Amino acid sequence: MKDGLRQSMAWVHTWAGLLVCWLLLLVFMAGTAAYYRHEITFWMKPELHAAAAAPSTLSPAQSAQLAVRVLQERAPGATRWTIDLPDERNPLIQAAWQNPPKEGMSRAERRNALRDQNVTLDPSTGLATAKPRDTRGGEFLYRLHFDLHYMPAIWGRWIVGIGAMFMLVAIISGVITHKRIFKDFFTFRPKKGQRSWLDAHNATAVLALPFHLMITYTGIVTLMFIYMPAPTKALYGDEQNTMFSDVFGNFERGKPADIAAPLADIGPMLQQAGRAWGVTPSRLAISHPNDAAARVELYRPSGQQLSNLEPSMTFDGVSGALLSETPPVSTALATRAAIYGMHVAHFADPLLRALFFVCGLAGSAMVATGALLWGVRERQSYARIVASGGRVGFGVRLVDALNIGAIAGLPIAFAAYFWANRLLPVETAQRASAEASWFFIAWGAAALLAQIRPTRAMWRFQLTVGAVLLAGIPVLNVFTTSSHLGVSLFGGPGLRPVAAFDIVVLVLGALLGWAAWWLGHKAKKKAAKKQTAADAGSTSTMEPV
Amino acid sequence: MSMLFLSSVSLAFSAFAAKGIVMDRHYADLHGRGKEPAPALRMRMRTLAWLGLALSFAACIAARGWHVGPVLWCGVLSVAAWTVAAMLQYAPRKVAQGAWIGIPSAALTAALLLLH
Amino acid sequence: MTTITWRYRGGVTARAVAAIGGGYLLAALGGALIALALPLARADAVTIATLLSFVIYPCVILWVFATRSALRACVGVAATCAVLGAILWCVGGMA
Repeated sequence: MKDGLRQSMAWVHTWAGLLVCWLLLLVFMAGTAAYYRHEITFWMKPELHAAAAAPSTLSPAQSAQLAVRVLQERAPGATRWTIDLPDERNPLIQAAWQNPPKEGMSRAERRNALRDQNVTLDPSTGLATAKPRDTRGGEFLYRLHFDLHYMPAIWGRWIVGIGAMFMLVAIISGVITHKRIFKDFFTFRPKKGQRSWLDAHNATAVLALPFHLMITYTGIVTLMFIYMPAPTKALYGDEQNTMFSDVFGNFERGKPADIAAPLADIGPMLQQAGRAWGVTPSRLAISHPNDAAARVELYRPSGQQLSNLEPSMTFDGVSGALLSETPPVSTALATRAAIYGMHVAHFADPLLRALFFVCGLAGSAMVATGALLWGVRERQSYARIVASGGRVGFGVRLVDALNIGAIAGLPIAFAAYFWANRLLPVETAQRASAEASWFFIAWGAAALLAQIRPTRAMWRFQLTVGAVLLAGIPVLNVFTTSSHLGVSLFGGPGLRPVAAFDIVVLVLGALLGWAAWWLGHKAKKKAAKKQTAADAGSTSTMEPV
Repeated sequence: MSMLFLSSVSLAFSAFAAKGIVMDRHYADLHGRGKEPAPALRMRMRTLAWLGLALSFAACIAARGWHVGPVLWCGVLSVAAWTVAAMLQYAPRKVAQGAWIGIPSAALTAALLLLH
Repeated sequence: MTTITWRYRGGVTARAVAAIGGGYLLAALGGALIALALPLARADAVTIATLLSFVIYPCVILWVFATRSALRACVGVAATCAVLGAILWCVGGMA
């Protein structure tokens, strides 16, 4: 195609990147936010904040026993109970249940029913908390980044998967084509137009290259059996289910015996597991409670291992005897689990999680600067035409418009989702999907406006709107909740996630505001320069953007 | 845990700073156009830089183990590299000064590793 | 800037098809063969083979665009697929 490997890789890098960059921006931004999905969900349920503020008075065993008591009252005939015990990211007890499916219930009806089959318990009072508003919280953002929305999940996964392959190719070709990757390692030259955008693209890309390469490959791996069924077909033929249970483990819950039997005290089971693992179980699942075939599974929290697998111990629900433990997995399966684990970062403590978050933001910046760089470069080739009053080509205009819609529009969408959470009345029907639709209403409006008028003024307008909406969230909190920054900063460890959320959106809003200001500042300087050049009688210089 | 992390970051910062100031472009920014670092200086800085990175890696392993440690180290490297890149543009002299932090960091890290 | 001739467009299209479509086929055939060849339990073999197929795929894509001509790219991918396919058929692994 072109002379030289570098040139062909530059071409591949440009096109692989350009064709999917706006999709990737969505995936990166939503995925980065998803690292804090528990905290985001918690922030979006202010009814729970008061309960979280008070320190817990219960031990893990007591919390679990409390949950069991409550579940016995509310759902004694359920097929399965799940209990999530409090930890640093979730200060409250979550108890949920699954009822045996009624005849003729559609999948959607079953899923909607499940949303009501849970209760949050306050470990400081032993009582159920106030019912939180119906919201998908951070889970919406998490799902958005691989299922997309308004389409069957499998379509979204294929689209994102293809985007991820494009990204993988873009990363590798980018490294190959980057001639001075070591010499330019620390190079950043601002105020030099196209070169500055290139430097920014290099800095965000190269200096977090391990992360970007990892996140892309591991992202594909999370759904790799869907994307690449050929090896499975070769060894398992049509028995795909067998492959899934071989690789992922058997989730057979067994049938109930239909003989009533009291559930054993789970305290000793928790103790036994805690002794064996050196750490308290984080989650319990009780299948067929109050039945002779009851089983209690205790799950070990992910910690020092990269693997996302949660080893479990299974106890007999009536006698309390240990029945089985998850057997150690083979190296190959452990490798897959570690690769998967690296993507979701369950093992990440607050410090490491913050680093993942920052690298995710850098990834978003990498994609954004790349798209902007292309626009700037192409615009250069139209410089003479534009100077004599002509218009840029269709491609440049389209990319400009898409850039505004994605780079400035997406933050507006995120902010709208959070504003909707605070402003939509609690009794709104289908409240959770209503919140989600505000994300897309805002994004759609931004993208449409951008297509109509892809100008610098539109950039400034949308960046300003994004800045105001994001930075305004802590202010909105003052008027809509009683856990605003004034309270959450001093309210103890339980409210720290709420304070952190407010601070992060404030900082992001400030960054957008600075960008809007900088664009205006540059425009004024450019106008002033043109003025002095015109005064001096020389031809105006085509200053790069 | 946090002490090890901080020392890891400062070691990585120091290592990247050492590497950065002997690069042609940045050396010229600091000392004047066309100036190039003496080969001996370049060698010394590069050796120190690799040592710093190795110690930084060890600190991360000590902080989080052999599985999560390397992941943490990649994050440390990114943060340190961004800091050096930004400073080389906006405060180049401070980079040369800041690089000296590598020496007390190395001593502290060695002590922490021995105690661990 | 190269002149956008129809020949150029044809070359790009051919390479894109060879890379995206041909590359996927190559990675799939390669993955299937690796799975069959690995002397491990089925679950392990399938896992490793699938992981590796996503290393093969980008490599093929990059080779298709790096190689000297679009013709070379298409022939290379097609020939490799044919060979892998033949081996697979002999081994009897294809469902």
